Amino acid sequence: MDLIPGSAPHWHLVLNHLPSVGTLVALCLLAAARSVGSRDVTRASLLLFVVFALVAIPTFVTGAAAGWAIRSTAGISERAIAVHQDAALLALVALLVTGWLAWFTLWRDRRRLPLDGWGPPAVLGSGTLALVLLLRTARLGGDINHPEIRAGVPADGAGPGLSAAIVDWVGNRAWAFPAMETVHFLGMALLFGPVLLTAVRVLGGARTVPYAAFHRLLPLGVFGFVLNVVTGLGFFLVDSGRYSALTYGFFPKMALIVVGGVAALYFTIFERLWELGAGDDAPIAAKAVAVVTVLIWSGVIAYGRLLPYLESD
Amino acid sequence: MAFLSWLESTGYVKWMLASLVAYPFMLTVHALGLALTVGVLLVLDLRLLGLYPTIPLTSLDRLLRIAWVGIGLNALTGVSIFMTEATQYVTNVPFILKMVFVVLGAVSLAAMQRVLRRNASTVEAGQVPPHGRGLAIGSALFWVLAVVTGRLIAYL
Repeated sequence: MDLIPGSAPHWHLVLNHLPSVGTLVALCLLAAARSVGSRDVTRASLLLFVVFALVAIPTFVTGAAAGWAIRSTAGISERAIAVHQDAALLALVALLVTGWLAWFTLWRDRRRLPLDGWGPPAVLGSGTLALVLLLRTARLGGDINHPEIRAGVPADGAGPGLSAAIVDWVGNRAWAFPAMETVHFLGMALLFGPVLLTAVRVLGGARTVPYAAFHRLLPLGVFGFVLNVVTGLGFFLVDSGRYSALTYGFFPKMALIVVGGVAALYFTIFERLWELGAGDDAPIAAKAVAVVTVLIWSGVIAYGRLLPYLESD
Repeated sequence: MAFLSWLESTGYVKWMLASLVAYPFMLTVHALGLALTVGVLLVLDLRLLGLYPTIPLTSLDRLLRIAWVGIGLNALTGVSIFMTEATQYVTNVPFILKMVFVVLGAVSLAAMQRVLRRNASTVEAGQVPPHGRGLAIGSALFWVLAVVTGRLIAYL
C-alpha cells in the first residue's frame, strides 16, 4: 500500500484537503479566540493561516500536474479542469493574501502593538473570502471526475479563463518574460539577504547587535518571497506542462519553499530569539535552525537554477 | 580574439562541458553568490540610507565583508562560465555592461568600507559618514543593474 503518494494526482488528492479544511479550522479558531479574548489561541490560529497558505502552493502545482496527467482519460472534460484551475488560482491568491496578513500581524505583535488592532479582523475577512473561493474550487474539482455530482450543465460561462488570459498577456509581450525573470532574481536576493544576515547573528556573528534589529528585516525578506511567488506563478502558468514533468527539480523546490516558509515563522515568533540582546549567545537549537534555513533557501535557489538540467527519467 | 579562442579550447573548459555536473554547478554557485552579494548589500545599503536604524552603524563594516564572499565566488564561477564561450561573451553588449556594473559595485563596496573606517568616531556616534548615502545609492543601483544586464545576456 502506498501511503506516501508517488504521483502528482495522488499528491494533489492528499494535499488539497489541507488548505480547504485547514482554512475552515483556522477561521473557526480565530473567531473563537476573538470572542473569548485569548491571545495565545489568536496567535495559534494566525500561525495556521500562514502554514496553510504555504501548503496551498504545492497544492496548486500538483493540481496542474494532475490535470496534465489525466486530461486525455476518457470521461474527463478538459473544460472542467480549466474551470477548476481558474477557481483554484483565485483561491490561492486569496489564501496567500490571508497568510501574509496573518504573518504580518504575528510580526507586528512583537512590537508590543496589541493583537486587538486591525490584524485579526483583516485575517477574518480575508480568510472568509478565501474559504468561499476554496469551497467553490473544491466543488468545481468534483465536476472533473465525479459524474454522480455533476449537475449536467458545464460550470461557468464560455470564454477564455483567468489562467489563459495570463498566459496570453505574457505571450504577447516579448519583454514580459525577461522582466519576470529579472524580478524573480531580485526577489531571490531580497529574500536571501535578511535570511543570511539573521542566520549570521544567530550563529554568533555581529553579536553586539540585538536580535530585534534583524527581526525588523523580515518583512523585506517576505516582500522578496511575495515577488517570487507572483512571478513564479506566472512562469508556472505559462508552461505548466513542462514544469509538471520536471519531477526531480520542480517538486523538490516547491517542497523546500513550504519548509523554508515555516522556518521564517520560527524566526518571527520564537520567544528565546526575540529575547536575544546585544552580546547574547543564541541557544544551540536556534543555531541549528539557522543553518538548516540557509541550506533550505540555498537549495531552493539551486533547484531553481538546475531546472533545465533535471529532466525526469 | 585568439586568446579567447584559446581559452575556449583549454582542458578546463573541456572538462567542464564534458562533465554532467561541473557546468550546472558553476551556474548554481553563481546564482547563490548573486543572492548572497546583492541580498546582503541591498539590506546594508538601505541601512546607510536611514532604514532599520536599530542596526548599529558600527556593525556595518563587518557585515559588509560577507558581500566579498559572494563577489569572490562569482568571480571564480564567472570566469569559468565566461571561458566556455569567451568569443561570444566578449561581443555581447549586456555582458559588457554587466562587467562595468560589477566593477562599479565592487568599487562602491570598497569605498563604503573605507568611508566607515576613516570616520569611526562619526559612525560610533550613530551618524552616517560623509558620502555614505551617495555610495549606498550607487551600490544598490549598480548591483541591481548588474542583475538586470546579467539576465539579458541570454536574450540579446
